Amino acid sequence: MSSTLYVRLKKAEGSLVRLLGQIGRRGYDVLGVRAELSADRKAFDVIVEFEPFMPVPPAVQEARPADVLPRLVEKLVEVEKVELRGPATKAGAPAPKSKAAAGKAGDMHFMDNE
Amino acid sequence: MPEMSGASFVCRALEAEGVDYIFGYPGGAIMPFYDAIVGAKFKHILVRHEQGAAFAANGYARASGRVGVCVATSGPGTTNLVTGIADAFMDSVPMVCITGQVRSHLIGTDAFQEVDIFGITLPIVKHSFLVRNVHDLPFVMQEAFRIARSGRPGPVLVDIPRDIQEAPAELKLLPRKLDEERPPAPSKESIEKAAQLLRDCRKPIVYAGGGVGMANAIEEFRGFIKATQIPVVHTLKGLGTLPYNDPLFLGMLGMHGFKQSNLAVQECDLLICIGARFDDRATGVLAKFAPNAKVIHMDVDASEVGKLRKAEAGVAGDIRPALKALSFPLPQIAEWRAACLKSKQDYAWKYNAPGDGVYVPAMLKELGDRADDKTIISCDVGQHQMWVAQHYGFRRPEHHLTSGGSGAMGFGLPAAIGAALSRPDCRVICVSGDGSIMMNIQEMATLNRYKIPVKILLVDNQALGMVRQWQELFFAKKYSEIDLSDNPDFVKLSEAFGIPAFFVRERKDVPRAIDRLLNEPGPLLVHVSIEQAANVWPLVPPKKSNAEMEIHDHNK
Repeated sequence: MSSTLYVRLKKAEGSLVRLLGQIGRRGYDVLGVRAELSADRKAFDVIVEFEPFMPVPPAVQEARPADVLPRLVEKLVEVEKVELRGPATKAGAPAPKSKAAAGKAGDMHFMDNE
Repeated sequence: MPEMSGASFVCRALEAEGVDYIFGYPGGAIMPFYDAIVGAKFKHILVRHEQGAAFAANGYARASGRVGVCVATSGPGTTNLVTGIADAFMDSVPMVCITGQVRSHLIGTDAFQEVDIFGITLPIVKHSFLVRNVHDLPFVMQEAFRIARSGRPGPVLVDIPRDIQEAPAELKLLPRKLDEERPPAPSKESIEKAAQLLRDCRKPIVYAGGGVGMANAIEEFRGFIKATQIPVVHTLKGLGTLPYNDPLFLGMLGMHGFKQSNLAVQECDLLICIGARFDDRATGVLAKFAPNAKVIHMDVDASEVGKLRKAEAGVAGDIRPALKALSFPLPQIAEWRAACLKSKQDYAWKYNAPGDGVYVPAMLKELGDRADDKTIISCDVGQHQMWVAQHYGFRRPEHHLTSGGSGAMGFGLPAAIGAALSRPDCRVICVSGDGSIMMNIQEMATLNRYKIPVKILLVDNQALGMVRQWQELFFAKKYSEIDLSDNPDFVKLSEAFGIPAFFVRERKDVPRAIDRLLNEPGPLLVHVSIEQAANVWPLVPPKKSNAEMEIHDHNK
């Protein structure tokens, strides 16, 4: 099932590419992106629809939980705010409210690595 | 305010940061910087390959805790840095990498020596800058150092086009933002939750990694262990956080961990993970790792908490106040502690291997026993790396430089060079293999040029030993491309670089070789020949839990 991530991102060299790369590298498939430059041209409001990669059977590895992603994205220097919304909504969803709304630590699941 | 060039400003910024050494190699797009460093307060170390510069800066940072700086020109100069940058990213090492770029108007035109190093390194840096305006340099240099060393450290790339280096401007250094470098304190609720788990447990184990040392939390960590008396296992990068001779230290865990360490983790009911990240080399099959344990996970990087393993208590932020708050006695664990210590005694490694040839575990144990508290070991990657981790007794984590996350062969020698310059108060020994040493052998010339007193202990089995071991055990002895029997004569090679060397084949000659390693001034290479069939034990086979480790030598 896909989810939606809202990110407020400083406009800087490569910041959009860095954000999308981080999402892809950490095991999530980007299904759609919408980015708008803020009125003061200093930031992007980004809406990313994504879903975890599904390992091909018979791999025992599970797909990564969606709620891990906000904290991984929050680490990027240019990220000002990040918020995970459950099932994906179509473009036009509200902008992020607060960086602190990123997933809560210690609320995750087992993964397998072999 | 007088004008200065962008390159001159970068030099002033490095001086203001207190940088004493930088490691690099000049070329076209970085020439204005190399012009500006003449007369600078820091010293430039001219390596013989840019990868050597990145690893030297990496070793400098690991040994000292200060930010390492490396420099390269555009194109191939920058791409040669990439492995060292990736290594710093994987092991959270603070580095600033300054790269020359083609002139701004040539960017994107496939100009001579143009490579998009900003794009290439995006996945392996903590952050990066491509400087588009000379007036951005004060902010960029300040931020590069702040980002590299704050929170969870990491490498920062600063790519500077040649025209920006040459541009004159009135530029002023910005003050260091100390308040932004301090990690936030963990929440009181998370600490209280962890305290409750500690009060309720019966069989706890501390699983500590390199994050403890990087957080400058060694004293708080040792205080926590002293108060709680919980047995400790370390990751590869955590070794030395608790001294090897502390009775509560059980050993390294994981793929090549000791039996008592892995079994204790498998049986524990509470796993206190501190500054570690449930790396697959430590956990084996994760779903079978510490299967009965609740988890307290303490880390400065909130994204690590719960990333791979559910944590009943996630303590994110500065681990020092958390460790202090959790330092209270746990009288209910006495029986468990006694069982762990008995297991440590029962499975103690036997160093009396049969034969007359050099038994590397015994050699490294003797080296560790005889070295003083100011000896740094820089490792390469492979079997010797695991033998060092298992058998050399570390007293401090910064005394063990090892490419843990990326496993980069060729790391050891240049990292030792960086360490020797950043810690002139310490003796530095590079333990390498015949495969690894050849990956950056050219840095022997750097050793000789600057007379850096690095000792090299070269363990030579004329093979890529770890690959050979896996082919023997898991690929039906079908040996493929692991033979290095046509190695050069390492003694002659070392002497050709101007570095004295000698050869050791027999066990009886090891004590004298260690005498020379520990006592001779200046650089030295000791070439030790060992049996090709020597394997690293214990070993957790792939797709197995850590409880299913194998030992197939006299320790069986």
